[in-house]
Amino acid sequence: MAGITRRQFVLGGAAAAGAVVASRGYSLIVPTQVASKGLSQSEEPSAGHPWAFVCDTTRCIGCGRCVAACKAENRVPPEPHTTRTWVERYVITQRGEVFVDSPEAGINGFSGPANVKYEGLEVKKTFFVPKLCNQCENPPCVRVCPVAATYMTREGVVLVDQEACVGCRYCIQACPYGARYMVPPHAEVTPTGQTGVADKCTWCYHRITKGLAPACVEACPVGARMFGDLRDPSDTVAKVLKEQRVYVLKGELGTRPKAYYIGLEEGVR
Amino acid sequence: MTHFIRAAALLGMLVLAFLLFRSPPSTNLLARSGFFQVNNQAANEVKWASLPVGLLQPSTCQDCHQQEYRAWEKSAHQSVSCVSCHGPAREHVEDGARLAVDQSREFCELCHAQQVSRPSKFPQIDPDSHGGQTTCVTCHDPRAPKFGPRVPHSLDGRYPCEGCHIPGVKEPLEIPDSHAGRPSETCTQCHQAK
Ligand code: HEC
Ligand code: HEC
Ligand code: HEC
Ligand code: HEC
Ligand code: HEC
Ligand code: HEC
Repeated sequence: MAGITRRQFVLGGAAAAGAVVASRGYSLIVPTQVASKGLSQSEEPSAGHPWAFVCDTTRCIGCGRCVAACKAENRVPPEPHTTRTWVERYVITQRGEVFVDSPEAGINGFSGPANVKYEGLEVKKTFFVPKLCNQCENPPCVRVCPVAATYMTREGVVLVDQEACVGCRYCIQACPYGARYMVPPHAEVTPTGQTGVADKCTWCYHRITKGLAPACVEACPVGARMFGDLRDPSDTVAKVLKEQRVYVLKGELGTRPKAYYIGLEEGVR
Repeated sequence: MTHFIRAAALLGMLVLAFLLFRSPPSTNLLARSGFFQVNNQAANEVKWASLPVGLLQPSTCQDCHQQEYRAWEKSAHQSVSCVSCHGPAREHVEDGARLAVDQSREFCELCHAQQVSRPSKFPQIDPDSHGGQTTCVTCHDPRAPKFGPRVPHSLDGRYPCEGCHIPGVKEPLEIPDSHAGRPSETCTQCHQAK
């Protein structure tokens, strides 16, 4: 390489960079624009994000049937921290303190009229909040995966290819909602037979693709969890989104969740 | 002049590099353009979509359990799916595996025990006093939990009376203290069916 001058090197470098930009197009330079299209693989008009989820915190009774149903339906490992969905109990005191607990993810319900931690404090407001994967339109977990094992399907559901997953846990760190967990290396009950891989709620992909509601929605006794197809105007969820004030969790992060909440209180994260 | 052009070119390249890598290019994009093909998305979606459905809808139970279904359909529990009390039922329907039937008080209390965090309009009971320590299903039919016609009730086929009128238990059906020691067989001698 003795024949190369600095001038040639610099010019060559500039030409190569120009070529990369030209071939990849503008999209590489402005990645957010790509993400806003949902990384959709198809440009057909039918492609889009037809599904949405609504949690009604004014109805939830914290019975945990959703968590139990999810674990059974999806063969989620039994440990409390390996869970695709969970229920949190919020207690907001008169002085403004916020207490949150979720014993064993809420699978056995909540015991006692109150939590010992706030005994003696005057409770201003208390309620249950069901949590699950928000299927963000701009999912941080998809961005960080180094092997492209997690991605968004055409319908807007974020899935993990557990055969491709290398178990690096980046996505678990990246999810601001804590919606992902590792399938323990020696787990006997597993969603797909793979262990040591990342797993997350799929909104019961195997049910919704057959026109059934997710397991947690089927199990909810009070209609606090709702699921629907936004392309159908008569759908309950489409109606709720149209007629009621709904909120998303951590909206300021720009993840653009597709799980909406009714009756969310300030302080709920 | 050449110094200026060189410096400008270098600066331009730095700006370009910054634009290119200010956030790592999405791996999905690279994968899509065939940069590295580690996963097959279509096959993966088929795999997820073909997992078995375990939690069945009440309409699946209807064929074989017509009586239970008809009672449930009109009851206060109509919003509670059969499977949220009985668990996933795929094996039961396909292979006739026995379904769990939890008759414990704790099970009903999952939903009905009094808790401040619950919406106040949801029917709740005090687990320590309501119905003593008798299982809830002695008095409530899980598929028609509300009591039908209020009293005066028909006493036919209501034995044992103590199932619901438990001596010593004050809530929710009080039985007068004067009744201590009166056996079940005697109830209808004094209380007539109306
Ligand atoms: C193909 C017919 C069939 C269908 C469909 C069916 N069952 Fe059953 N089920 C039976 C039979 C037969 C028995 C009695 C078996 C026994 O006594 O061991 C039974 C018994 C039961 C029992 C009592 C078990 C016990 O230990 O006493 C429950 C609870 C039950 N079924 C719930 C359900 C639910 C919930 C569904 C719907 C998801 C359902 N079944 C669908 C046939 C069916
Ligand atoms: C609120 C919870 C709950 C719901 C909802 C419920 N069950 Fe049950 N079921 C029970 C309990 C508890 C028992 C056992 C108590 C008893 O023997 O009455 C039982 C018993 C049964 C039995 C055994 C026969 C019997 O009467 O003892 C069958 C069959 C059954 N249920 C079917 C169904 C079907 C079908 C549905 C839906 C249409 C349903 N159950 C909904 C709680 C429930
Ligand atoms: C999964 C949650 C769940 C479980 C478990 C459950 N219930 Fe219920 N129950 C409900 C819901 C929901 C209602 C309807 C409440 C309403 O009308 O707002 C209800 C209503 C009732 C009512 C009528 C209350 C009224 O006067 O309006 C009674 C009584 C009752 N349940 C008893 C029982 C008994 C006994 C059991 C145990 C066999 C049981 N429940 C288990 C959810 C549950
Ligand atoms: C000794 C019989 C008996 C037992 C045992 C019993 N209940 Fe009741 N329960 C009643 C009666 C009677 C009522 C009032 C019915 C009415 O007013 O229509 C009632 C009312 C209720 C209500 C409605 C309360 C309201 O405010 O609307 C619920 C919910 C309920 N019971 C749940 C349970 C649960 C859960 C258990 C088990 C932990 C249980 N019951 C055990 C007899 C009983
Ligand atoms: C399935 C539960 C159940 C059984 C079994 C039952 N009762 Fe009752 N009983 C009730 C309820 C509910 C009330 C109404 C309580 C109320 O409204 O406060 C009641 C009220 C009564 C009353 C007072 C109201 C009146 O009629 O003046 C008498 C007396 C009575 N029962 C006698 C009996 C006798 C005798 C038997 C046995 C043959 C019996 N009961 C079996 C549920 C039951
Ligand atoms: C010797 C006649 C006699 C027998 C036997 C008898 N009772 Fe009574 N019962 C009465 C009388 C009289 C009253 C009302 C006066 C009272 O409070 O003692 C009454 C009141 C009641 C009440 C309260 C009714 C109300 O309106 O508050 C209940 C419930 C009741 N009986 C249930 C029973 C049951 C259950 C049995 C069977 C174990 C039974 N009785 C056996 C005579 C009887």
